[in-house]
Amino acid sequence: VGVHLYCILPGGPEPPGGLTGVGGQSVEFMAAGSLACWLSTHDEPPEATRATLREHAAVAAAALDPSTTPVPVRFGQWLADTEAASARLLEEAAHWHEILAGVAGHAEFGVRIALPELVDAARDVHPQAATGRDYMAALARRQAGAAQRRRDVATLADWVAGRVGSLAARTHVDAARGSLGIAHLVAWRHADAYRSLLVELCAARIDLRIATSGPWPPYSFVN
Amino acid sequence: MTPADLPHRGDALDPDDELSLAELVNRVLDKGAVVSGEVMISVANVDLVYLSLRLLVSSVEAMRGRHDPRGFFP
Repeated sequence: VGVHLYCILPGGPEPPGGLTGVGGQSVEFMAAGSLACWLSTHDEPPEATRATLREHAAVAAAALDPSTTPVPVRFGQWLADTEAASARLLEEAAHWHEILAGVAGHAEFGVRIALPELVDAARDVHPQAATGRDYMAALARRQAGAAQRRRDVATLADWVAGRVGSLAARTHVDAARGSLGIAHLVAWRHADAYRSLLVELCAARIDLRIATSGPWPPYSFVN
Repeated sequence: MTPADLPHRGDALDPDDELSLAELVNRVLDKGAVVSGEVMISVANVDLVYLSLRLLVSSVEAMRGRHDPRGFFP
């Protein structure tokens, strides 16, 4: 038996009644000095599936509103019991308060742009090379694809940054395989303007597959 | 699309859309605060191993012992 952590809060609020988390377990409130944590009790560490990741995210999202920005906890944070969880938070209470202060009044929004041509290039990484020449040719294609990828990612990131401007207090760029992920930390007072800008941004580049998401708890800005 | 059409509460536009899945997976598994210093993850469904998540892909491949001896791991 152990506890699965969802988010850290500045002392409150408590989770809404009936809120369930991973595996349908009840979400519990744990106070730790001037901090608090939402968690659930399980017989064993939850497995990572699409369903459990969504359940985990939903709990942290339930703690987010303009008056409270939680520090979302990465999936897989497992401790023996609430006493152990409380002790861990108290050990670094000043650190958590600093992070909470840094994201207060903000939420995270995401922009993800597919890079299909780079997905195709990545598929070429597994060639069925019959000869050494084929192998080297495949390797060269891979390197050329990687170079093109870096140029494309930089161009797209600059384009988005130029459009968003000062609406984002902080930005995190994650160039993962096949897509470019950009996270923005946006003050709630700018949220409507930011959303409108994203709509314009999507409309301006209908040649790209762009997914927008948010508001999220600030996953990308708490490390 | 209007601002009201944008997804809210950390959910995705389309649950089946791979970009939306990447938005979720990259945050929940690869970002977020680490409290205990160790992250315990067991992967029940390999389908979850979204290609954009290098960390998880590497971990799963390590667990399954399926490294490509030619070094052509994407």
